[in-house]
Amino acid sequence: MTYRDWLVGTVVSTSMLTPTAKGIVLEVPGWKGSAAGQHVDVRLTAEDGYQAVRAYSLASTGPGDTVELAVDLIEDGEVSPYLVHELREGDQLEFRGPLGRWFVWKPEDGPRPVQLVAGGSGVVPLLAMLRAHAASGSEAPFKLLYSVRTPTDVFYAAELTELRSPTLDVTFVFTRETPQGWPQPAGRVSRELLGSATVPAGEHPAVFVCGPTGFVEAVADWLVELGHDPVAVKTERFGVN
Amino acid sequence: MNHVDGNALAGPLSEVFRDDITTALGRCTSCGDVSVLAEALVSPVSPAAT
Repeated sequence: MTYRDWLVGTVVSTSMLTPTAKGIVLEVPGWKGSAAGQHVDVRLTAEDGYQAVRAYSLASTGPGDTVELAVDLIEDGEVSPYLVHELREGDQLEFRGPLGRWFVWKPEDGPRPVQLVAGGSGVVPLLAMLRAHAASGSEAPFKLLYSVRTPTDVFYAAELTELRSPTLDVTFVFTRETPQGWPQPAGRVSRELLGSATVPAGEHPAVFVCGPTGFVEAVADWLVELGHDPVAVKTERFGVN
Repeated sequence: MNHVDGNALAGPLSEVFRDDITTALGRCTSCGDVSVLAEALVSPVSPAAT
């Protein structure tokens, strides 16, 4: 079995992570695990034989024969409405992977600081990195800046709270609605905020930015303006079309 | 989510290349920029490319 072969996983559990996003855990006999940040291609086949393929980041990482996806609903999408609304425990799902070796963090990368910047559901591959960081006991200092519309849109909120540690700092930016009593008003990530809430360029962090295309491009440009080496800023972008 | 950058080519290109080539460097013939394939923007043109 190689990563280019199509596999079949069986859904062992699902859960709504937000009002529009579903966590899906699959059991895949023979799965050899994945590195943090990798994705899979999911393939749906209609009764008439029409097939649609979409890439979804893995929330899971490391060895084991389970695979965890987190899928955000795109109302007029071809694949996500089925995954979010229809897919049930016991169903089978076809996919291939793990895919991608660029947008990946490994514990072997050593003690170099890591800055993660997430926009919306872009937090999924970054959560895999946080899980890998915690599971490995890595002493690399991690920071996550997570931009999200409202408190109910936060993926894995409880786990993010539990993962906080002396080597993991999490900063939320709420763009439309904040929790009650939140010290800052709702607003978007800005260059100034990046400058104050992220690992300084002088510490030469590895940076991973994932989110909608416009968000990622704005953040990556600001990080370079703030002195980060463009080569150290890795990006993963997604759209809604 | 629906990826629209070179990272998402890892699957389709696995049908053609033995190794993941999204980490390979390429030069844009339009602007001369040198970057890894994973950082390139991709226009989805078929179900297999999205």
